[in-house]
Amino acid sequence: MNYFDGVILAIISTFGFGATAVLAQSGMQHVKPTSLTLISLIVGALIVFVAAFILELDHISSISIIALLFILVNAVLSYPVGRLFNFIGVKYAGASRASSVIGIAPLITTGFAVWLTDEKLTMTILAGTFLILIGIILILTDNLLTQSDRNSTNKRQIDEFPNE
Amino acid sequence: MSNLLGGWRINLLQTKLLARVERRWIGFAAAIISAFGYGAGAIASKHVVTHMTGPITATAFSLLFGAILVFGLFYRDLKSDLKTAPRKAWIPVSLAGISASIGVTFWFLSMVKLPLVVSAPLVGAYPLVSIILAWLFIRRLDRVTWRTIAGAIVVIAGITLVTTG
Repeated sequence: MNYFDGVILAIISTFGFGATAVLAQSGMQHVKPTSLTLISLIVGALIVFVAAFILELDHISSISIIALLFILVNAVLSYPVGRLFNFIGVKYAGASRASSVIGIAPLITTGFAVWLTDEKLTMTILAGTFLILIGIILILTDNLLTQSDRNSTNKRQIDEFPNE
Repeated sequence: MSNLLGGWRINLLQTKLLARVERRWIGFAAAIISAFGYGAGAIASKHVVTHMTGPITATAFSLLFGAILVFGLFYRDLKSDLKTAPRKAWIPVSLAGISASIGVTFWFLSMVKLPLVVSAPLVGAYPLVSIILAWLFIRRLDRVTWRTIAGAIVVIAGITLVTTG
């Protein structure tokens, strides 16, 4: 039962992450990526603090200064860099493509872990890296013009040259 | 005359194409920078979560610090958006914050109950959810192609190997 609960929790998480990019793209029609990042962090902090007070009250009350410094490093990298550029990516490349490219983050983590902590580079990791590169190349070399672009270009041509 | 119009059409298509290429490449560059931010940040958070405090506590403080930092850097943007953006626009913005925090919190909770070899591929499949939701709800804003879907599936397979390897 515990295992099944874990799968359900993971699937909810997957939907949470997946929906973020789509909601972000929808929101950024009127709001700048910086404002979206800020609001998403404020809302997120409120929700996760409530969850932390319920599930990890002992950890909150006993957190050390060193832990807070490490968390600050994580915050600098994950939010003004990670999340802000995530939303900029969604705005310009679209939710589906940006999410797929940002999905390579675990590869970056593994790369840093191998570089900084002397973790071993296995054949499985190399095979995974190769697959990721193929996937990214597929996404980056996707068609440049969308159907709506072609339609609007054609429509403009017809509007301006109706006798053509 | 027809040659002239043909040339005009090609120019228009080229301008449109260039604009699309620039926008797309800005987006891809930003996505890669983002992946580096998340990827490097995970090293620090892994150390904290493994040796120092609980995962949800770490996430809560990280989000709080992130909010303070981003507020300090970009509060002027928020001020101007609050004045100009329609009230309706803030609904998806707030929902994006809620869904992102659901993603992080439930991910950490699932890691307590599942081995990494199961939780990593499940959570790593989120680009597919983005693609399905984009196709269902924002087709007008984001065109989903078979190539994007194939690319996402290959990336997820690769991430599964890297995470479990």
